[in-house]
Amino acid sequence: MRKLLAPEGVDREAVLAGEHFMTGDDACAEGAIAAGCRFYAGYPITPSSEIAERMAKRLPQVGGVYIQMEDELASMAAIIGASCAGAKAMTATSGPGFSLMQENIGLAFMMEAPCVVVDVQRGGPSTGLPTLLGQSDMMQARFGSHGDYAVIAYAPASPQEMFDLTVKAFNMAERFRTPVLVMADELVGHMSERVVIDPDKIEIERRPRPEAKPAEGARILPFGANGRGENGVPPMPLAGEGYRVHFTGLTHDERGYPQIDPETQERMIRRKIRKIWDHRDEIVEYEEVELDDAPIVLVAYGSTARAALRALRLARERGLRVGMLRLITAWPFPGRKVEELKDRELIVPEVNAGQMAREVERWARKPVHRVNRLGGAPIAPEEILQKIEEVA
Amino acid sequence: MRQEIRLGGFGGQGIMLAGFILGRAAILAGKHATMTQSYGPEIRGARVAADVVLDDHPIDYPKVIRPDIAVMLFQEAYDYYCRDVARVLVYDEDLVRLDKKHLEQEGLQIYPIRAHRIAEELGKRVVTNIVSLGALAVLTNVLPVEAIEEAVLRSVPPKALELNREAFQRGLEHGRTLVEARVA
Amino acid sequence: MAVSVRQVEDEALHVIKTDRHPEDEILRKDRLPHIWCPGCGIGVAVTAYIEALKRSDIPREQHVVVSGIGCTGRVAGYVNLDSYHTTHGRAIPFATGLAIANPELEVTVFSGDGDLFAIGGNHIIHAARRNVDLNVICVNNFNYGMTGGQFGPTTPEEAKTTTTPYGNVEDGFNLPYLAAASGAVYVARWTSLHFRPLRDAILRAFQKRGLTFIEVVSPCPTSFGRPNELGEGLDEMEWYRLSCVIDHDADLREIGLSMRKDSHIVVGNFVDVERPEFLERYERVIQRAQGQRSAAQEVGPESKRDQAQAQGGAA
Repeated sequence: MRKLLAPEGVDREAVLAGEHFMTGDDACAEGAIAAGCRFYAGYPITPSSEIAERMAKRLPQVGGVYIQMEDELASMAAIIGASCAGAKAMTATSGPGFSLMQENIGLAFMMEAPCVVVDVQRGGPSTGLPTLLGQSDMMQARFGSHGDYAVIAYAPASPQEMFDLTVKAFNMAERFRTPVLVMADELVGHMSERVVIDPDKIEIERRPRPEAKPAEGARILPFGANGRGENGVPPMPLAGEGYRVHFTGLTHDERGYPQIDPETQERMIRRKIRKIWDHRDEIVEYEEVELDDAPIVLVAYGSTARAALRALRLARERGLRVGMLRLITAWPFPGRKVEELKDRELIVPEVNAGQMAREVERWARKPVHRVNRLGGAPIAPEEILQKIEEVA
Repeated sequence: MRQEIRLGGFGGQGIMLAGFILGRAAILAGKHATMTQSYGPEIRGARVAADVVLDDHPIDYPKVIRPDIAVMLFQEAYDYYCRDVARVLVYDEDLVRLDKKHLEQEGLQIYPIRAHRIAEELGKRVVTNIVSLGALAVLTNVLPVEAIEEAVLRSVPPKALELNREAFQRGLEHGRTLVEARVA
Repeated sequence: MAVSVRQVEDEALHVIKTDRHPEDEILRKDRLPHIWCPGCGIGVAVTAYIEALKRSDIPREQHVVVSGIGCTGRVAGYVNLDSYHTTHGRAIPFATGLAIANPELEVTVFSGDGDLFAIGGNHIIHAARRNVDLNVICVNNFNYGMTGGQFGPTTPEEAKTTTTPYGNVEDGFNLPYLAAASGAVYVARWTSLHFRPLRDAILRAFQKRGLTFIEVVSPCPTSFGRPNELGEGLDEMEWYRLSCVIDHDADLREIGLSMRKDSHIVVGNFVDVERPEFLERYERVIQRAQGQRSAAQEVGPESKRDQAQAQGGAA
């Protein structure tokens, strides 16, 4: 019987090194394996099922466990449990399942349990367009669970990024002891493209661990951020190590004990939010494309950013100076960068009715131009080009 | 240069695998490629299309916008996915009847192939896709023949290696015959 | 060795005289007093668990308690062990993750009838089916006590609760029958009166590999006992004494509970069978996967399995 403790560094044996032609879903699974994920609990749902299928094949090869749960509620709970026992754990889903996971995403935030949740977005609401593209869970990613919390969410735009950002998601989850989301979409999940996997370039981070050994009577503070400053990340004791910890979804004090009062709520929830928010400059990532001379800027993410990039090139061919800000983290949102661009004309194409556009507007403090589809097909470069020409 | 290829057929014909092989061949040849797919409402037995984009540079938009090259192995897929093709139309003449508009389209190179029939001669209809790839390799020069062959051999299970090698070779010969006929 | 009545009395007096509770070591004293009402049976179940734990040869640090939400859900907060108080209904899947990620752990899910069989009902049948190595202790008090006594999945027909003011029209679950049918390898029912048999059942559950299920019938005088003519906690315990029938070989179909004063409560250790646990079987998967691993290094079009398989299958 083996423990699924996260490996210290890169387990080179496990990494599928090389240059591949691979779907985004497969690349995501390979990223998880490379990052040291050894526990996957999930419930199949299109268009994320290929991640489950590949994990079912790959995990036992590297001594990990794939477990297919009875629903997404169970899947999310199971990965938090596995994380509390020291495993790097992941689940993948799509819109309807993501909704079912929300309550326990809140639990993972509250318990400060590192884990990764992948949402390969499809068209919604409800069952919507099971096999077709959507990007309409972006706000759910930020606000889907009840209560106040902070979240880290990536938006991969290629199979290569499905690999790279899944690795990064695990690193951020471990570093900040928090659930991290990979907000993929059907196009990026199902398309195949070149994916280069180089074990030498993979970095592995691990959650902070208590330094003091468990001793009779000695207590550590699993929610106390001791040693790392007020806004730091507290060390995480694992089940079975002898620390006799208590983890709860109730508002709790530094020991982890329930403490149901407004002072503890302010102190503890603010710390949990700030440990992410105060480090947003280290977390936030974006790509700038020909921004410098551009009075018109496309703000795009995920597969839509690729249509935007083509539209940008077509526009430049026609002499229109267009740039692009591509969000790599959707959350935390690169607000300061958008603030810098507030004097430009901003166009936000996305396969939803305008979700991230609201956040762009909040930071730019003005209305933006939108190009929207409600799902089912990607936005064509021509549609974005048309908007560019309207704005120019 | 960006080149867009659309492969159309029915589910189970190996269309997706053919698209995947082309993409993989591009990677082997040092080029960039994307492959995306379209299904009909049903997953099996209905029309499917594999869309492959090839380029020497990283590809921005991964979907096919207007195919330069179309390979059509099923009437319904042809009707649905092949309304507009720019440069080359390869179709299985036993399975697809061409639209007048394509026959009249100026500059469109049209190649009727017999991939399905050759596959049947080989005793396995499932290699229709590989025969078509052989023909396509000769008819279009989209990618080096060796890269496609290598990608075929890497993408099929070991026990089916010889069959697929032979299917690819038959496709190449078939393609050469068509080119010669055209030149003559 | 025979123990005189005098000795027992002395020990009892000693306990009463000291400010130490015999279970202090396993309780989080700094969390006491607990929230449970006088006459509630949850404390007995906790004590039985602790006594079983003391007698088990599994190291203390390997014992983990996972709870859901509700009165019994608070157990995790009072035991001085690694303990996890999760969301409503999700104790079992959370515990599944713990148990699989670290098979050395002896994971016990301590929760109530509502948490385990209503909101979490789907999880227990699947955990039993896949036979994850978990001990599930369900304190059944026939209602949602913490939220004020609404009816739940074990509330008997005709029982009065705050949401069945005219009597319950639904039947309650027969928990041992359900657990056994779902595949649990050990199934027992005792009441909060049956301290020693309950302790021994928990000890047996620790020894078993796979999913074990123990129902602890318990008074909830505040919300269930009083409106249903069972009286205070002690009255209900007295009724247990008179009405319980120990029958280890009972036909599980026949042991549903009406909780009417003229009925019987059948208790016993009903099921004790062997069936390979989930990870034992998964080891088989790992062996097979590692045998085929070299072949998998080459990435095929995994997600387009129909084509690849058709191609291979045809050869």
